Amino acid sequence: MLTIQGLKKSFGKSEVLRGIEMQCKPGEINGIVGVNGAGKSTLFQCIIGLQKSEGTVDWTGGIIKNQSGLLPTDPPMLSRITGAEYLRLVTQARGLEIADFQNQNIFDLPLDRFVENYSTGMKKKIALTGVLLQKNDIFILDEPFNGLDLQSNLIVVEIIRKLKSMRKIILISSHIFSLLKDICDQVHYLKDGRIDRVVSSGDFDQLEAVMTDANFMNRVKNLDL
Amino acid sequence: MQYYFQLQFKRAIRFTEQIGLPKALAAILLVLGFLFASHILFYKLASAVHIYALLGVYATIANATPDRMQLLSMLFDQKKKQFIKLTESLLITIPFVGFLCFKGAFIHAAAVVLLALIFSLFDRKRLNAIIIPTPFGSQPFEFIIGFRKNWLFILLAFGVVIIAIAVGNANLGLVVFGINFLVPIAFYGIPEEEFYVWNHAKSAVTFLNQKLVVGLQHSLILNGPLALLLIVFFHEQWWVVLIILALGMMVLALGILSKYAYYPNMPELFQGMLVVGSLAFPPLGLVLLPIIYRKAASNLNILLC
Repeated sequence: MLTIQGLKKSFGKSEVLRGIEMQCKPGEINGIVGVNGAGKSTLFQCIIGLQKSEGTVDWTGGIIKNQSGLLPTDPPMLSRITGAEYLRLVTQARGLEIADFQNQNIFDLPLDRFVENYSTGMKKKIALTGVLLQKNDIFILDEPFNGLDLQSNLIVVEIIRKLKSMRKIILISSHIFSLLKDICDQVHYLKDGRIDRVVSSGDFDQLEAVMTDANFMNRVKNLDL
Repeated sequence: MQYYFQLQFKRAIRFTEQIGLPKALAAILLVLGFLFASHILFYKLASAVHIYALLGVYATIANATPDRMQLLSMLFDQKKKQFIKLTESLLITIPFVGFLCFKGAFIHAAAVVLLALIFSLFDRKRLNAIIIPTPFGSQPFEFIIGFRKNWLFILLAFGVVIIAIAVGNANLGLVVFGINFLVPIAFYGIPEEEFYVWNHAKSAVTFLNQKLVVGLQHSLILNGPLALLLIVFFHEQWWVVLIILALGMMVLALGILSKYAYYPNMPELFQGMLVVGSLAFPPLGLVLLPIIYRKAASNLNILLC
């Protein structure tokens, strides 16, 4: 069980997270939604200790950072490193030695090419492959579907379902609500630095309605195009 | 186009502000440092003029990074892009050409200008897409990246050492060997994204120890062959080779530790001061090693546990 209590984070005077309370159980897929800039990525980084924050993050399985896999929205890539070398680097960081990555190359990536020359989607795929190969217990996937083609999106959905069956803890953020509706057990709505509401599957349509600004048509009209 | 050059100037000023130096002082230090290094090179080496000219050409090549060339392609048409590349190359050669002229090496000065102009016509992007095999694949990070970025310089260093052996000039070989030992410090100059440090399931101390071991091992792989060649062909100078080897490893260790002592900020100025200070007075390096090690371990505790 992953328990987050009173998590707060500020950048200067700007308070991004104002006391997050969350619980995530093994084998449960938790979606995080919110508008751009709501603090979803910051929340993820605070949970895994990539950013300092106030409050507590407890996990019954050990040291969180050593068994968490983070897929950032825009995975940082090193220059002059091939796909295979990238995978070796991130698996070695967790003390794993894998001789050949070809069998685990689920997205058919050109592992002999420099990752800096990969497309946006390919960078996401190699980063996700790395996170999966690390054999983590907690998976934090920040916008995993962004930039991916349809086939890859389907693969990612299947991977997430497989992780669920393996009783991993999974947190996902996405702006593609239809995908979240398909796979999540519950969705947390992040608003004004707090979890505004937690909605279980079955009530997702209700949340979608809350999140949609009814006035957006007027705003488009006011653009005066 | 004029605005582009103004922006480059602004960026340089911002960089000096970032490292905490007043711009006037930074400019004075840069000029004095360049003149001092140039003078030392010519004072210590009989064949310095060749190395100096090659360094001048290399500086222009190093400036034309693929990312910058891509940005230029996006902003300007081909004609303007070429003009900017030529202008930048010529500006970079000015200090080298000036010093060469001061030393009366007019042919070398002309060669620097000519080669800089020729190289500015080529795009490095295709060359950079080639996967150069390296002996550092078992631990792919600083050395594999640094080697692929600086292979031309490293190749040049090996070439000059072989020439030094062929002409029986031990001093030239030893100086180039020393310079090549300092090259890997630059591999540790730019901090990686915090994501790559956080990813390690290690304590800060284990992380640092591993970085040191891998760095020193890879440095030996890179420079070991040169050391062996120099010991075999200039065996009376074996002790100088060993001193350079020991000094180089100490300075590299300081470079690695200083990177993480100030992580995630850029430690370039601090690294530079450490390197110069420790080379001038090696006991200083030995005293600083444990101090910087402790600072780096304490700094990394935020990300690692």
